[in-house]
Amino acid sequence: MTETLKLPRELVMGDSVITMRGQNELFIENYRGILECCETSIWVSTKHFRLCIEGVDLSVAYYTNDEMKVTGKIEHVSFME
Amino acid sequence: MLAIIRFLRGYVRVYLWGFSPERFMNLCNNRGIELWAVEPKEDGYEFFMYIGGFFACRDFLRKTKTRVVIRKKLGLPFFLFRYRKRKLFFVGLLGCFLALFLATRFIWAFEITGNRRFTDDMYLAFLESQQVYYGMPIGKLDIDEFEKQLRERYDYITWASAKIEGTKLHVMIKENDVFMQPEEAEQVTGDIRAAASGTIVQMVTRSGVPVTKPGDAVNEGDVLISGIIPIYNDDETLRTYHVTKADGDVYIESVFPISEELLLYYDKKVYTGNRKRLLVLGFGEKELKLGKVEMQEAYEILSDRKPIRLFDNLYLPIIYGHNEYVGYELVKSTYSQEEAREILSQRFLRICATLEEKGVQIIEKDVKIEIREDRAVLYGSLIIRQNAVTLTPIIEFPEENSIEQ
Repeated sequence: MTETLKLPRELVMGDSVITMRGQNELFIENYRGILECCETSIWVSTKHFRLCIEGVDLSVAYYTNDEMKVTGKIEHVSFME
Repeated sequence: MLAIIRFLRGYVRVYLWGFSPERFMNLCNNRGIELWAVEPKEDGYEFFMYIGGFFACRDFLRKTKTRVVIRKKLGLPFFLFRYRKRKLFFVGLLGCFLALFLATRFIWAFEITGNRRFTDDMYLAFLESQQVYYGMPIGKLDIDEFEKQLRERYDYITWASAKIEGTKLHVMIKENDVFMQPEEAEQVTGDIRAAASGTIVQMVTRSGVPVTKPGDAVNEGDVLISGIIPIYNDDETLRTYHVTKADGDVYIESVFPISEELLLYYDKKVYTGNRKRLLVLGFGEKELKLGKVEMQEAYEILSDRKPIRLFDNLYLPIIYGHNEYVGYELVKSTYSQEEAREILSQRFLRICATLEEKGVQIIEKDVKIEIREDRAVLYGSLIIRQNAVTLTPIIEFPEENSIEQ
């Protein structure tokens, strides 16, 4: 139905949108909240999975209702159930 | 832009720690409370949030069993609170900027460039006649009309341009380089006459008939080269005269008398060393002297004025400076013989330099300096050589026969 009506998938399915810019910036849209946040790893909860971002000097540049931005040297991005 | 908005709204840097700080952040997020620059620190997190968000999130602290402490307060609301007893300072600052803004709406300086024939004062007088004056509103000046009036008023101005630079009116003028002389009817005939008395030492005739030769003594006004050329027949009888414009160089050696006098007794200005300074402030054309100076003796006033200027062209109607009063007394003095001789010698050298500038060659100098009772006198003469000619209309025409031109 999503394809038939040409609606955005993330809007209908509640998918998270993860955008990376180089190795230093990561944008996440459509998430539920932060589970854990430290300098070497940040855990974010989304509708379907948990996102784990690992790296060095990680921090949250901003954290709003719509979007959050993680900065630092990102080494791993993994998806957990 | 975001930084400006944050500054205007005011925000705080807080430290959050406790049982579930992540849940606290999620609750803030759900309520639309924005957090940024979140950094893990010690046992908790440090981040920024708006003042409104800080007050709104107090309920979450109890829910998540966390505690928050403000580490830094930033932004305009905190700035205003910190200086709430300094309102007058800000009013004054605002007033200052307002006054500055208003002052730049007027013309406070004039600059005239490109003029060579006439002085700035003359053009400034013209400006006044056109209702362009010191302190006039910039908006009141019609630049195009002013330029047109300037070009019409002075014929020799080939190009004129005026522009406002800051609070200065800059008038640029281009004058006609060729000096406009009144048109004279070109003399097509004439004699060469002596412009000085003396003895002819050298003569070159380019046109006309020479009536004198080197070695002749002539007086001022004597004809040296005639513009009337006789034309002869084959049998050497006079047929007619041809009148032309005589031309040539005639070098005349003559005596140039010199006499200079210097009074030995004079009033010498001796400075007493008494100097007093007075500060002066001016606004527009009015001046205010800050203080009072009383001098017991005669004095000179040296004044210095500077306008206040911001950057290059933003002149303000405020002038500052000082008057320096230098006391002196007149003492009866006498030049010594050496001093008198030196002064007269300098004068003599200046006379010689002036003659040489005019192309006069000085052949011999015979001058003496004599010290008399109350004066020193330089007297004598110079033997000078110069091309002393002048073209004059032909006055005496021959009586017989016809004259051709």
